Amino acid sequence: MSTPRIACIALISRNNSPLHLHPFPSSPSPATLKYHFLTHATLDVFAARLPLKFNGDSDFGLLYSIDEELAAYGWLTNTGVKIVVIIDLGGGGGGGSAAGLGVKDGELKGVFRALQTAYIRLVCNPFYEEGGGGAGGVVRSRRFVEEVRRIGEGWAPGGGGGAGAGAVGERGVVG
Amino acid sequence: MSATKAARVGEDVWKTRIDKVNAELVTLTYGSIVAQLCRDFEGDYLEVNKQLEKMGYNIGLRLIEDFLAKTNMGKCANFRETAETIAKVGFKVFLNITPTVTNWTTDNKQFSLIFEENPLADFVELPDDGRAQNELWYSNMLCGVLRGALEMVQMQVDAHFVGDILRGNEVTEMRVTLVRIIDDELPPGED
Amino acid sequence: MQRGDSLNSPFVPFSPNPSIQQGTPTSTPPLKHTLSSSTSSNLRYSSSRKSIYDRHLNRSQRSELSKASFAFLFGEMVQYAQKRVNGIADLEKKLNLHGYSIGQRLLELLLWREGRSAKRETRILGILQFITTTVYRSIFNKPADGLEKSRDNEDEYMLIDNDPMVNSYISVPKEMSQLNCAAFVAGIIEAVLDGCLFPGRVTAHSVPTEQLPAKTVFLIKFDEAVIERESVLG
Repeated sequence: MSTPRIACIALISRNNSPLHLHPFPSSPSPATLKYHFLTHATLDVFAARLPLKFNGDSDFGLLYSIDEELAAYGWLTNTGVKIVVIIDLGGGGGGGSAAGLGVKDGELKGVFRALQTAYIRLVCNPFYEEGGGGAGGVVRSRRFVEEVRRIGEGWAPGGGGGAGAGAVGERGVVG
Repeated sequence: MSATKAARVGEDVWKTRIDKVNAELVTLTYGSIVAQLCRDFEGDYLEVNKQLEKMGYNIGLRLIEDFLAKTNMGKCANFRETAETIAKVGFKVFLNITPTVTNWTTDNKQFSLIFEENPLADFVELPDDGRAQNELWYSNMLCGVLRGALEMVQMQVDAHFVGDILRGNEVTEMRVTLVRIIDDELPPGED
Repeated sequence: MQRGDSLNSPFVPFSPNPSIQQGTPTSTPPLKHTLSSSTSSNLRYSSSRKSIYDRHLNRSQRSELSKASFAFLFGEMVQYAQKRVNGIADLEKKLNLHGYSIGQRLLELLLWREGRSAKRETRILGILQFITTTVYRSIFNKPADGLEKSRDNEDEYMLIDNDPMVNSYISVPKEMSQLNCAAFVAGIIEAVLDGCLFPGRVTAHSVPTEQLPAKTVFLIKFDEAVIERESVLG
């Protein structure tokens, strides 16, 4: 059994088209398609929970988990962009006792804030046009893609424990 | 005027005599202009450079009045002094930055401005089309501003970028050359 | 109605380019050269340059630039646009589009900074107050001068600016006396409304008075669906 890690990061535009999906490890694998489906499935959860979220809180927390193996967490910006982080809980399925516990509340806040920051940097580029990037409006900015990769690979559970979450949290995120 | 004095004047004018506005409004407005030009000229970046320079020139012709009025600057004794004034007063007053003056030629007619910071280029990532990074000088309007402004004080200069961090160069550098002192009384020609 | 159905959620059809939205007729094609089908990137990066992600987004929060610089840029924007349009309406449309693309970005930056204190506005009055105070202050260093609801039309509101910053720099030639450069500001307001899921049209109208020769009214006309949603919320 291994520790939880980020398995996938996805950004979805406010009209529900995928802006970016990054599986970890980065190489394309059969899992990528699965992540597309899982990400898509989060949209209903966002929609269903929205009425309860009028306090303006962006953090949607755990959206759902599957077989105590994968857990999807969500974040909604005030302009309607959805960020989904899928965590591989490291239990390898089968419901071992430590698996399925997921990640503590708020532990992904730093990750979400860093991703949101990256997104804002992306859209502030005067050359950025949603839908102008390529097939399906997918983001092509290398700078942005790199940053998502860095955030995804850098995260480790337990916050202060690793270069991971700490480093992510510090970078241009503190409000 | 010495470099240190120029720096002091620049700071002082910036602090006391300049109406200010949200920096991002300026940055994004410039970006919107450049993006519009890139669309209008369908990615012909050489033409975009030209247009930006021309717009800058128009600005320079008018900006110099504003500059002289705000700074009470007298005439510069030589081109070296002019360079310091541009960097430490001009750029300070209009963009709140002070590029470094360096790389003088021995005849004192050519220098470089090195931009550590460039508010016009905040947030910018050039289009990844294999051409923009070789052809577009994103901040080229600044060259035109210098040319226009200096023409109004009887200096014909050539100004062009030789490096831009946006292109992957190590520094953003503008090369400025004094072509001649305009001693006739003829009004400057329209571009 | 397609837009209406989806308006109750934040998942509204959206495009950052108003030219491909309803109600904004000018067409501005997306950059052709960004449509490259290749996934590989050729961009070079300066080794000395920190990635922009390394720089603090808040860096420019309180940073300011000279108003004159904005005025010069804005003046060139107007002049350039003027050469490529037929008539004043077309020119105002261009200025609106510039304002829109800038407004979208300013909104993202503003909401990001507000962070936790940012409230997701759901009511028309709330969003209008957000614009007249927070947005206006952050961009123009002053709140707007007034906000009124139209007596005749339920979907119309008026935001009043006694002296729009953009107009103070531009001396409009006589033959264009109908032009109001605040169309640019209208574009910003429209982008903020759209971004906050209150789509509508915003237009700038000069209503000079003796004391306030530059007085401008921004007429905000919300999409039908926004009004429907508002009535559902009671």
